[in-house]
Amino acid sequence: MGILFTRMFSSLFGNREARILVLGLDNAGKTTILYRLQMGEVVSTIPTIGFNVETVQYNNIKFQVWDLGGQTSIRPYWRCYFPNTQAIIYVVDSSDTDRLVIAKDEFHTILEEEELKGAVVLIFANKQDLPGALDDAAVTESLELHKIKNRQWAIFKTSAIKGEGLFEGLDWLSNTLKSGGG
Amino acid sequence: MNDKASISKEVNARHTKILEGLLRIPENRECADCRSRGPRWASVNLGIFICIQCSGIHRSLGVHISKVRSATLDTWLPEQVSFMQSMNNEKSNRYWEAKLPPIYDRSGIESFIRAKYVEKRWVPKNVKEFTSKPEESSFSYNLEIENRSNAGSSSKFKKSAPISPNNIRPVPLAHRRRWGSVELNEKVTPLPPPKGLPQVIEREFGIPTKKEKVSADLFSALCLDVAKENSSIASPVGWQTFECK
Repeated sequence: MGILFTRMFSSLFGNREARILVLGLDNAGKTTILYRLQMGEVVSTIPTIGFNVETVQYNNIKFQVWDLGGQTSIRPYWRCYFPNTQAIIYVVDSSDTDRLVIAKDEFHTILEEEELKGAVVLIFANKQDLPGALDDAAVTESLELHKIKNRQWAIFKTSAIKGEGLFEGLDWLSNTLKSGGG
Repeated sequence: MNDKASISKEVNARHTKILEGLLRIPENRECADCRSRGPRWASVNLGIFICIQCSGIHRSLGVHISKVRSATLDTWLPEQVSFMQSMNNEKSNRYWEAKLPPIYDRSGIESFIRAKYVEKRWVPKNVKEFTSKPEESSFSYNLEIENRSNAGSSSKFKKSAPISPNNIRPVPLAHRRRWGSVELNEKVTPLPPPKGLPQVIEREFGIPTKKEKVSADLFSALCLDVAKENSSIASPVGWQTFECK
């Protein structure tokens, strides 16, 4: 009876699950963000060769968050993880202005993927704590986000080190997913 | 430097060969920072080869200090490769560690790396110029090295600096579940890996990928299809000019 009630409660009040991919160039801060969300701590990381996956429970949504390595030669393998993805978190090192063009190209390549047609997109303009970091408006322009069509998206300024902006982004994500996006 | 640079497969193969050669010269056999053998990563603006552990620390410094690339997993620009050719770990350390006492405890490697490149604690004072620019194929490096034996009284350098961002708390490895990550000290191979990835893992870690099997449900999520072979996009890197007072 108790289990039945729990199940009914979950379905009524949206205890949903969502599969999220965290993508971005190498050293954008994807792994740091994943563990900041999951553990609430800043961990020291090394480059991810392969992936990390963790579950993050937030706002009645169980996010299954996949953090994929960003080195040039392993980016082509991202597409192996695309099926059944409700949302992309695209992470940008806002201080690495030299590579924003590459970040933009990779971003728009992802959006063209048929398997991600229904996925909502959350962009983190990360590393706001570093000198020379571009703000959300400048990153929006650099990534040419105005070109996004037929898709819900949002950009947040974040600092994974300071823990700023991440949960605001996750709030947007959970509200968007609950209201039918993704 | 903001242009998207496409590096052809031929050029990329040539770069790989050059980098492999550079990794074999005696000056580059050890990580520039922790001195462990066989570094496979690099800081392309500092012109050094480092191990994956130290690369993690370099990445945390920000790209205004160090731009990290993998010697085997990333595509390089010609000017990055030629800068690496003009430099080596020993040459670089003659500058960055000029005033480092001959015996120095590097066990707090993060503090050491921050002191070395952020604080520039051991650079020589009388250096006029230490720059790298994309258009320069050769490296300009006017360094009058002070006599190493005069390099500071050791008492001054005994304590390793407590420099770390306020709220960083490294998590013990035991608590970090990195399902799909291959770390240097682990004999773990993510299987079944997509075609092409075994070669990368073998090259990177020297781990034979055909024998060992690790069963984990998560790996079933890896697809077996060959990923697109068009990973010929290089990441342009703005060379940082850094001057030392």
